[in-house]
Amino acid sequence: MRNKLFEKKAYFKIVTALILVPNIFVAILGIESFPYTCAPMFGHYIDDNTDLYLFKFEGVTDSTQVDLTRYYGKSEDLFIRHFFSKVYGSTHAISPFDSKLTESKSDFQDRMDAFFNYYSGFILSEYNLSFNQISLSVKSVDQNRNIIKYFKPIGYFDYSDKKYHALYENRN
Amino acid sequence: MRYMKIGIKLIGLLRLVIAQPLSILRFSLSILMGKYVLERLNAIFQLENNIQYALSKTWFTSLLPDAFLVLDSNLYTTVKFLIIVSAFGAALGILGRLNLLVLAFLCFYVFGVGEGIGVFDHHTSLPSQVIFALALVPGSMKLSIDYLLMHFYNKRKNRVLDFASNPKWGLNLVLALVAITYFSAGVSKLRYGHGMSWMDGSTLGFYLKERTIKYEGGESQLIIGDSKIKENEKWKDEFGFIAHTYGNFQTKKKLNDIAEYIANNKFLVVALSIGSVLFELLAFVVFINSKYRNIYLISAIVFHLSIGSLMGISFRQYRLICFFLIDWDYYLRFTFKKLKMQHLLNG
Repeated sequence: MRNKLFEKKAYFKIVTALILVPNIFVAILGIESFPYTCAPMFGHYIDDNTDLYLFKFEGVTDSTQVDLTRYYGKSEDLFIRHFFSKVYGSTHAISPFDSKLTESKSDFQDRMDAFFNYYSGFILSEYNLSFNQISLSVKSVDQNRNIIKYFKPIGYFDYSDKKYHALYENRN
Repeated sequence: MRYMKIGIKLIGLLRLVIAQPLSILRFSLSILMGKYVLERLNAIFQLENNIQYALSKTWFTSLLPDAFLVLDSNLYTTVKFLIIVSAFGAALGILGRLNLLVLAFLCFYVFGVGEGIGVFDHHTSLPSQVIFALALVPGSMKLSIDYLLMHFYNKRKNRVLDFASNPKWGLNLVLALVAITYFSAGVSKLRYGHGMSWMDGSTLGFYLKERTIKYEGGESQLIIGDSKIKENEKWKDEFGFIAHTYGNFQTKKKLNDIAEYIANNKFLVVALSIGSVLFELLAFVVFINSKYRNIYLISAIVFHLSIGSLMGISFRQYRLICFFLIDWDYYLRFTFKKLKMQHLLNG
């Protein structure tokens, strides 16, 4: 005696579509959202001339600057990867590190505001830290983390208006 | 003669078991994934900053009520209990399909939360989907307590279950999942790695030499900029960030030395880069016949063993899936044919 359900063509088609279609979708578009992925591990190009950077978050008051690396509440790779994949985003509108299919200045602004509001709330409740601003800066390094160019601010979150302000002027 | 008969019976039994690869895969993968998802749940729970907010959600976690995204001790205990029960239930085949579904959804949930926190767990994306597939396809429950109970029930009704034959689409669908995953990885390397340039060995060389673990204090996670992006395409910053790097987590000095040697040997690193991309792009050869399928799956295991040794990224769940999808009966038939004893297989 056999299970007749498995011999029905409709069942076969439904299960096949349910399992394969999302995978084909993410593979063609080049995006990912667990468990579906276009498998971008090592899917980028790096050679000796590739520009590499490190991000730094600093809490700023009138008189002090606090490096927030110790206050991420998780490992640096988790924090920075979350920030880059889910918040800041690649320069390319569609990136294999996220599931979004569009990118715009207002979406970027909304994500940055949402992230910094959540993070400022987290460091206040967890470490009792509050600042006037949280600045975001990057430094250029080589593959062994030797500095090529020292930290340069690219934007800041202002506690007074609860918004992220980009410092880059060429906002086409 | 008596030993011969016992031998033939044992071979027959072995063939019956290896004719059910999806059932064996169900047993072993449920245990392995149950253990791994439990470890991930514990790691997430122990983080100070495991908050899920709007930007953390995956497609799957966005379908869940917000209460599932606040990982307090009550939710932690409930999820832990469900993982243990579903993993054992799925492995042993007690309400097997239901438990496979529950385990798959728990994987989507817990690893989805993990993605929201910071890392998309590529180790577990394929295995989670394989567990989901095993819940729905034929052939995954033949070696299970459910099947045994069904057998006794039907026997009382004078009906016989067809143990030996399975519709082939179950196994083929799982193989297709494997093939799509590897093929996508190959395409991604060409798509995001400056086309054929990925095969010049530079990227692989970088990862072989990278020592992610030795950096701390804000120096661990690199972000890649692309100098080829035009000025007018940049609007977030002046750098044109495109991706974060992955890591090399191998800490054993001997293995680091081997990785360094390969990275510094232009011929080897180019050959391995070309080999990796070709291997991934050829994933659909698994459908040609058993010989090609076995060669490909064994190569996949060797591929992951090499990456595991040189980069500390084990992908043991992938290796397990590949191992149990090998057509072991093909080798059994091949061996007996070489020994001119194939008549024993028909005995």
